[in-house]
Formats: sequence, C-alpha cells, structure tokens
Amino acid sequence: MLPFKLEQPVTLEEAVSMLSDGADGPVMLKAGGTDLIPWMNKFLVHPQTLVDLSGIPCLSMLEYRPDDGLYIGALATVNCVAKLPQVHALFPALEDACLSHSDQLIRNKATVVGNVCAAVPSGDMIPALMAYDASVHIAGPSGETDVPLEEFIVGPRRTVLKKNEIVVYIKVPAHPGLFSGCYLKLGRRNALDLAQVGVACVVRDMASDPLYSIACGAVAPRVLRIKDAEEMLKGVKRPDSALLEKVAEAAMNAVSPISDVRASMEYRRDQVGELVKRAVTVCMTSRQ
Amino acid sequence: MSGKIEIQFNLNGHDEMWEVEPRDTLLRALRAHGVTSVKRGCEEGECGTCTVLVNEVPQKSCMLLAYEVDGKEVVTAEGLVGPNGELHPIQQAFISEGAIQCGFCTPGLVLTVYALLKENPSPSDEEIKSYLSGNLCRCTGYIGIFRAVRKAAELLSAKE
Amino acid sequence: MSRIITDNGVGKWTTRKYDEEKVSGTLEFADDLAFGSDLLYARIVHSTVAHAEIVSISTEEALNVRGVVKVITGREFNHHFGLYLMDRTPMAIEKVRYLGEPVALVVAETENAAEEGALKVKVEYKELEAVFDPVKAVQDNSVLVHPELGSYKKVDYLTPQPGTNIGNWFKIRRGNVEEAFEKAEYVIEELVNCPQIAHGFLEPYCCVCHEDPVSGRLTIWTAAQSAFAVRDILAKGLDYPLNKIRVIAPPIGGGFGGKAGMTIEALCLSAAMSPDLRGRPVKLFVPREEVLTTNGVRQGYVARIKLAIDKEGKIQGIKNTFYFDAGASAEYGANPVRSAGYTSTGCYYIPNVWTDSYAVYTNKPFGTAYRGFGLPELMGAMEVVIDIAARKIGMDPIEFRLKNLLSEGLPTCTGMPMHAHALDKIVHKVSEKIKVNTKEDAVRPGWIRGKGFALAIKAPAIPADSSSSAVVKILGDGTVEVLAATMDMGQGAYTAYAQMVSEELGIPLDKIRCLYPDTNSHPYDWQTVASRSCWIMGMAVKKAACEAREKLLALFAEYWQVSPDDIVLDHGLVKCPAKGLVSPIDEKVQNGFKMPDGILKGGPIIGTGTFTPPDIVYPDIETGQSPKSVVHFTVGAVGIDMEVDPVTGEIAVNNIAAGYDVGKAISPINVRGQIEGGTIQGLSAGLFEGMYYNEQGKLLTPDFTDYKIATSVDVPFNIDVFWEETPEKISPYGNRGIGEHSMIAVAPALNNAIFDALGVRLHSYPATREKVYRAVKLMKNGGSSDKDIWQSNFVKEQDYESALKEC
Repeated sequence: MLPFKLEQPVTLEEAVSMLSDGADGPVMLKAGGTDLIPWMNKFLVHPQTLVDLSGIPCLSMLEYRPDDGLYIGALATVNCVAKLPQVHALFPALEDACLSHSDQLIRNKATVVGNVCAAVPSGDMIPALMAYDASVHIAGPSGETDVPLEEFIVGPRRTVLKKNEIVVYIKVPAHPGLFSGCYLKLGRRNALDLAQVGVACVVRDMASDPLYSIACGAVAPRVLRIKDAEEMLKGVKRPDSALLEKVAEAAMNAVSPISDVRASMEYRRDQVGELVKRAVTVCMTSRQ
Repeated sequence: MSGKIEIQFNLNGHDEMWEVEPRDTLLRALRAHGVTSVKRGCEEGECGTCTVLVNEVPQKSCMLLAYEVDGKEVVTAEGLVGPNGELHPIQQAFISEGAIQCGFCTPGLVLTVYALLKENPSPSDEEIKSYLSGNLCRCTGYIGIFRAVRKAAELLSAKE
Repeated sequence: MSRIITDNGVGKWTTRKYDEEKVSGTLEFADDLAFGSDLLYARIVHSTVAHAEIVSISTEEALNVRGVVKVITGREFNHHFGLYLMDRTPMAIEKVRYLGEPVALVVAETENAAEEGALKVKVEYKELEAVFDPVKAVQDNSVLVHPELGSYKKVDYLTPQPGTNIGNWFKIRRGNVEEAFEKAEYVIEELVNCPQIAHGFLEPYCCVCHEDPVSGRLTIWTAAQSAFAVRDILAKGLDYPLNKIRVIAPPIGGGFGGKAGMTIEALCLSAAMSPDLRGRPVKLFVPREEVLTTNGVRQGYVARIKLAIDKEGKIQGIKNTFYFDAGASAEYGANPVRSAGYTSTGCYYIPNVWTDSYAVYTNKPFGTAYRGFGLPELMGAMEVVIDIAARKIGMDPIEFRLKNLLSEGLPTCTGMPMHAHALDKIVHKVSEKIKVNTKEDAVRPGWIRGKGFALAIKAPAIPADSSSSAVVKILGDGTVEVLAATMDMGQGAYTAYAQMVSEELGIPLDKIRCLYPDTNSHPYDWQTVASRSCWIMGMAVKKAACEAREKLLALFAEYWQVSPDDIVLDHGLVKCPAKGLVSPIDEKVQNGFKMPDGILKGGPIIGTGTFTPPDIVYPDIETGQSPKSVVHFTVGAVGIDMEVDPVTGEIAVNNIAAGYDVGKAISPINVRGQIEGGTIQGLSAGLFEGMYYNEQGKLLTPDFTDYKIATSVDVPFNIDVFWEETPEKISPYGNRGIGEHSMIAVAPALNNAIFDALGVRLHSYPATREKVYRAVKLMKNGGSSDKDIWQSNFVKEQDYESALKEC
C-alpha cells in the first residue's frame, strides 16, 4: 500500500481536531480496519493521513445500562457485541446480525460502528440496528449530537458524517416490551459473503398490541424500513399465511434491488419477500 | 513522510523490538522478519492463511497493521511447539488424522483450532464448522480437519 | 529368496512425510525463501482491454517512483513458449488478446515500490473487435485470436486449424452413427455447458530467477509442479541448452494443474535476463487478484451429446461435439480437449462413435491443466445426458448405466479393449451407501431431499514418451535418500515412495527421505500431472530400490560368505539367521566392505531406475482409433444425498459416497485424502464456481471476494470414501492413479440429485442458489419436468432450442 502519516490521538477532542486541521490530502479514520486495510492493500483508497482511533478509551465502551439501552462504542468488535449476555437476551436480531458478519476471525477485529459507517447497502449490522431504532452519537468540533440511524445513512456508502466528525457510539434503546427479533441473511454461500438479501425483524409488545419493525438490506441504495408491511402487521399476534403473503408483497414493492455479479434483481426481490415471511414467522415465538 | 515506528511485543515467548513503517501490515512485517509460517494467500482477508493469535485472540494478520501489536503477545504456529521440539496435541492430531496435504493453510488453521478449543473444549459439529469458516482449505476438503479437531479435543481433555 | 521385513511397506496406514514441518510452519514455500539484499522485486502490469493493438507504453511516471529500476515490455523479450503448442508469449507483444494479459513488468528495489510503479505505467490501445463466446468463435472467423496460428511450433499429434479459432481438433470416427440414429428406437440430444473455473490453490504464483552474468546459467526457484517441464519449455522457448537451466522446486501450496508446465518463469526471466539487471535475482510474486489473469484456469465448455438407443436400452451410437473455451492460449489447454475426446464414450460400450472435440480460442484468460483434465468436463455433460436418457426411456438410471457398462474386453471409443476393473461392484456399493432408490424425507423442515449418482473414468493423459527416473542412495547411517523429481504437493507422493523403498529394503519408514526437486541433483521426470507419479515414477523408484537392495545383498553375501537368499533385511538390520549374524546398515555401505580375502569392495550404494510406458500408440488423426491409446483407466462412482430449500435454492449435502478402483492403495492415508479432497473440490465447483465477465471481457470474479469456493460450513462433516483393488498389470504394485479422479463425477451427481429432488434439469453449471430458484420457479409456472435451465454466459437471448441448433 501507499505510505501515509499515522496519527494516534488519545482523546476524542484530539481526534476531531486532527480531522479539522485541513491536512494535505484525504484523511481517513481507522477503527477495526478490516475493510480499510484490504482496500488500501489493493490500492482502492489512498489516505494521506490515517487517524487511528484505537487509543481513545471512551470509544471502547460496550455496556448495557438498564432502562436506558445498549451502548456500542466505535471500537467494540462484532464478536464482543455478539457475546454480550444482554445482546443475547434482549437483542437477538443484533446477535444474529453479528454472527452472520464475515467469519469468526474477522469478527475479532471488525467493529459494529465501522460496518454502519461504511454504509454499504448490504452491511449486515444495519438492518437489525434499524429495526431496534438505534441512534448514532456523533462528536464534532461544535459538540456532540444524536442522529437516528434511519437518517444517518443517506445513500450507498454515504452518511451524514462530515469530514471532521466521528461516531462515538451507537445506542440501541432499551424497551420493556421487546419480545422477539431475528436477522436472516441470504448469500451465495453461508460463510464470509456479502448479503444478497438481509432482513431484520423485531417485535415489541406481543402480549398487548404487537408492533413490528422490519428492515431490509442489500435490496436498495440504503437499508429500508418497510413501513407498509409494519402497518399491516400492527396489532396482529399470529399473522396467518394470507397476511404473510401480503406482507411479503409489500416488501417486494418497497425495494429497488440491482443486478450484479452476486445476484439478479429478480432473485433479490423474490427472496426479500420470502425472507420477510420467514423472519416474521420466527418472531412469533419469543427469543428473549 | 512515514517515519519508522519502533514496536515492542512478545513473539512466541520472546521479546522483540522491531522498526516498522506505519503501512506495514503485521503479515508483511512478520514475514520480513523471517516468520514465514504466516502466509500470504490473498491479502484481502478471504483465505485465513495469515492467521495469528494476538493476546490469544485469532486474527487475520493481513488486516492488522504491524504497529497495532505494540505491547501485545503474538503467537504463530512455531509458538505451539515445545522447547524440545514437542508438537502440540493439536499439531499431533492434524498429523494422525490426515488433516494436512499441501500444508499451506495448516499453520493458520492450527491456531484457529487452538483458539476454538480454548473457548469451547467440546464443540459440536456445527460449532467446529462455523469457527473454522474463515480458514480456506482446497486440498483436504475439510473432512480430515474435522477429524483432527475431534481428536485434538480428546487429547487435550485427556491431558487434564 | 531373501526375506524383507518392515512395518510400513506398501499398503500400510502411516503418517506422512513432511507433515511435521507443515504443521509447525517450518516448511518453506517459494515466497518464504530468503535471498540477499540484492533481490529485486517485480510486479506485472495487466492490459485493461480484451483485444487491441498496443499503440504505446509510457514508463516515465513509473520510473520516477523511488526504488523502481526498470520497466520491461513485451518487445524486449520476444519468445514463444508452450508445452504442446508454442502460442504464448510471457507479455503481450504488439497485441493483447485478453483483458488482464501481462503487458509490462515493473522491477524495483522493494516490493512496495514495484507495486506503486505498476500503478503508474500507462498503456495506449487501439481496440479491436473481441470474441468471448466459444461457439461464436468456432463458427465465425471474422475475429481471429491467433491469425498466425499456422506458424507456431507444436507436437505432431495436435491439429490446430490455421485461419480459424480452432487451436486443436480431436476426432473419433468409428462405425456409422447416422445409421445408428436412423435405426434407433430413441434418439436423445442434449446440451450442457459450464463456465471457466479456477484452481483455487491457496499459494499464489511465486518465482525467483537469476542469470549468471558471465556463464549465462539460469537458476529458477519456482512454485511449480514439474521442475523438468519448466526447464524443457524454457529451453525450447529461449533456444537455450538444457544444462544451462537449473530449476529448483520448493514445496507448493496446491497445484491442481494450475502450476503444471510453465507458469510465470519466462515472465520473471524477462527481468532477470535483462541486460542491465543480469546478475541480480528477481522475485515475481503474483497477488491473488491477478492469479487468474496471469496464468491458466480450467476451460469452459459447451457440450452437445446425441445418443441412439435401441429397444433393449442399449446405446448403439453417440455423437459428441465439445467446444472447449480455451481462452487466449491453447499451449497446454489443447490437451484436455484430446483427453476428453479419447474417453468420449465415458464408462460405456458404444459401437458407433462420432466425436469432435475442439479447443476454441477466445479473448479471455486461457485454459490450462486442471484436475481431471477434460474428464470433469466430459462427464459433467455425459453423466447428466445419461441420466436424462434413462428417464426418457423409462429405465432406472443406474440399471441403464450397468446395462451399457464398459466391461473387461469391450472396446473403448478408441478401439482399445477395456481391462479388468471393479466398477459394477463400486456402483452397487455407492448405491447402497446413499440408498439411492429410497425416497427419504428431508432432514431440514420444508426442504426437499434428492439423491444423485454419476460415474467417473480417466486414463493418465500423457504423451507416449512420458518418462521418469529415480535414484535411491543408502547412507552410512542406515538411512535412505530418494531423488525422485515428483512434486509432493500434498498428494503424498513422498510417503508412497518411502513406503515402496521400505517394502524393498526393509528399512523403517522414518529412516527414508525424499528430497524436493532440483534439476541439478535429481534425474529427469516428465511432470507431476495426470495421476501418473505413483505409477510411472513408482516403477522407477521400485527399480532403484531393488537395484540398491541387490547391491546390498551381494556385498553382505560376500562379506559373510553366505548366499544372498540366506539374508534377511529386518527393520533396517541385515541378518543371516542360519549363521546367527546381525549387522546394522552402517558406514560399510558408504566406504566399502573389507572382504575376507582382504580386498576392499563396494563403495557407496546407489540404485537407479527409469521407466517409460512401453506401448502407447497415438490415436489415428482421422479416426481416433488405436490398439492402446492410453495406459489404463481408473474408474469410480459417486452418490450424493442432498436436500434443497425450494424457495431460496440453497443446497445442503447430507452425505457423499465415493469409490474408485485404484488397483492397489500404496499409501491408504493419502488415497483417502485424495478422494476426500477431490470430492469436495468437485462439490464446490458444482455448487459455487464460475468465472464471469462483463461485456468488455473484464473478469468480475478475480479473487476470493467474488470467486467463492467451499468453506468448512459448506461441506458435510464426513463423507463415505472407499476403494477397490483390481491390480494393474504394468505397475510397481498393481496401483493406478487416483489424484484427479475424485473430482470427476461429483458435479453431475449433484445435478442428478437436484433433478431427483425437484424434477427440473439444469443444463449449466454451477448450481447456484439463484439458478436452482429459477428452476423451481419454472416448474411452478407450468414447466414440464423435461424443461431445462440453460444459461449461456455470452449469448444472453439464446434459448435452449436455438442453442441446440447452433452448437
């Protein structure tokens, strides 16, 4: 790869100011580096300056605060998140998503936040986080803000992050009514592959007034919440096959997949319908 | 532009002090210093022949920059061999169960199996398959490797 | 007769040579070798267009990168190379023939500088029309990949057709197929195709070359299957004497045919032999994403097979048309075309045969040797067509195969009588192991289970003069060194040879070493390909071991004043029980025996052996007939028990049963390994693998990100492999080859299983999830069980019926 200037800030403020200094040439951030380093190796990106975030303690945060939510710091690895007991107990769709990401080895280094910031349409972490109404906490020169994940990603590989901003953590809000959740991924094979289709489903308040969140990835320029499907399912405890067909159709109509070497748009569209049906079916049973 | 960085870390039980460029991946730095058991099969994180243990955690060294192991412990396949050349039970199991053919994927796989059995001393078939999914093998078809993991689990639990 | 006693002779389960070094990471592959600080590093610049004239190559920017010392272009190294047909230059000269073809080589003091420099070479092209579809290329001569085809040197038995894109054309003409079709009760004609696929070895190409500036002697360290073939090909291409080329072959990280012949050595030499660089070693490493465009892959194919079947279900005639997509060079790829051709009745006896097997040039990366060498391609088509035919005539597919089986004495498609084999026994065993005729419920809820079956056959695809030689040396410490230039790339050849030597000398296995090839020290061996080594080199090793033994016995006999027949070789000790004498094998075998008469006799004990197959007769150019076209066949069968998710198309394999008649398993641990490995490689190809291009001929699957191969989660936890042993007459121990065969029948067996499960026939490989899903959809929308999924990579609008006419 091409040479670069390495910066290793130890505080968030230091990191932000490095990004603001108008360095000569592109500046890129490194957390896990599992996308960045192979890209640099193959000369696909050429940062002049690399700001390595791994020396900033507050970014390693990974904790669940009861009645508040799960805080996933920028440096938390996919495997660490997957292994957190509260993730298994409360956010099974997130656990599924983590375990479907890449492979056992890469997950020891890749970060959840990194996957979200890359904003690749097929990013495995995004649908589940979106179904859990996650928000992104950003630090910049003028302070810190929170942006809902749905608004954070604006297009393929594009987020609202400005050049001098850093994601500090992603928060997955606690909710007393969380009942079930899952993430289903379809690829060319079952290990280390980009999703051809990825569907996350989360159900809250199953006992009283069921509320469904359905998010689909790899089938549109950004991950989409299928609002029409969610409307149809609202209040329904055990959707029957007729309703599931309608829900599937709503999903198929909402997405705009492309054809590429991994899959055709027709296959993606049909499979998003199928995976939505399956995901909703899985969520009829509690996984909490 | 990129000055050299000095890193200090422990490699297979020995303290090392190396000068590396920021852009040197751990893979290339190790190989440049003669640790050639760590292979470069693809340098894009797809094959696993570059697997190493960093603080006991298996990682693909083509995706790590060398400076990142400063202050850490790195173990490669040579590090599993005892002081008098005794092979680790996992290495013995690979040999006895026909888990090796060309040998290119073997050093990385052995380390992944080491990590697996540390975390999970009696894994199920599915757990074994899933844990190894980041290490490709083209010669054996994995069948002999599965046998070796079972055998290694046996040997390691007998040791205790 | 003297007795020989050992625990680890032929046929025993042993551990393998070099496994300890492999598992502890000390075995050095080509990229691991250390050279001095004078080592230069090279990186390839690849073309960005598929077919074009090179207008200019601008190297100025590259040369300005600090550390870059030179940029070499094709014009500076104008030599043609090729094992069978010399149509290949290491770099494009004046014209590029495929996207990715090397056009320049950047040489630098560091690897980083070479990589940077390669980015900065600018090439200007004048694009020409390109042809990517092999069927179009063979029917239409308006775009010629090799207009100079007539001028290339070649071996006698190849028949390229100048003025066309046909790099080779193998024919069989026997009997009268047209009459057979007229008289037939059933005529079945089907098409099957498959894209190019990659070897997927984990070790990328790597080579270091050095020219001595005074003598001109070349030294080449290279990841190669065949050190002597590299030498031969370079000698012919450079017009250099053999003795001035030394090739050292370190262990390789997988070959599968992709490291056969010459790969990148000439390219590296273009730098090492460059006037201002001579004297410095140059290292060329090819990163993963360049592997498929730098050397060869497995040829794609379009196969049309037409069968004439009589009322009893006997096949009376076959017409085969095979278009092999050879890409831009047929220097090696011309031969799998032959190999498929002279086996083109598969495992069956068919009296009337018409075969046309073509190697077709296209503007794509080129084909080379690949495990199975034409037979996975042939049987990938034939075993599917046989399955279709059986069902059409209402006969059980296995019964149909047995009814037409090529039993001992019946002529193969070349007229050669088939030898004894245990194929029917294997068929029955495989059928039982997967209960092929029992319909079982799927293990996974909602999935559909199916079982499929296919046969395998292959002979070593070698020229008549494919020779081997070996040297066995007994050292003064009682150990043995074997110089046999086979490349042990994991198939276990060195273990097998050590077992042979142990068998003949009674010396324990751990005291016997085989050394990796070096043309300076090893005697000649043709190649490590074709599953020929345990057989041909095995003959040489056995002879060498026996010669060493005879010398040893003669010396001890004189030393002890006994008959050699009274001597026993027992676990490395020499004994004469009658006289109560025991001796280790010690320095006497090195420095000589002081005989009873006081004369020193002996000196170092060396045994030598050579072997060449005695009686291969090349098939007639016009008829393809020959009394002995090949040395022998290894036959086998595969059964697959799988299930499929009918909506996503995902396939999971429950079990695979695979059996082969290996003649004699010299080294069972390695025979098992070869069958297991080849079966999974075949499964991976059948499920996932294919090389795809965009309209400009750019490969969209250059590396493991998009060229997916099987991982540990894609395979069953264990599979059921076995072998039979019908001895081969001309053979060291009755053994035949097994290295390639396990790949042959897997993909068609999978195809047949999918039909069994879903009732739809795929006419193209691989059976990706999306393809299976489309097949199911077709069925749901009223397609008949006969309706076919045909996918041509190139002619997008072509449906099956029109393709059948055109091909």
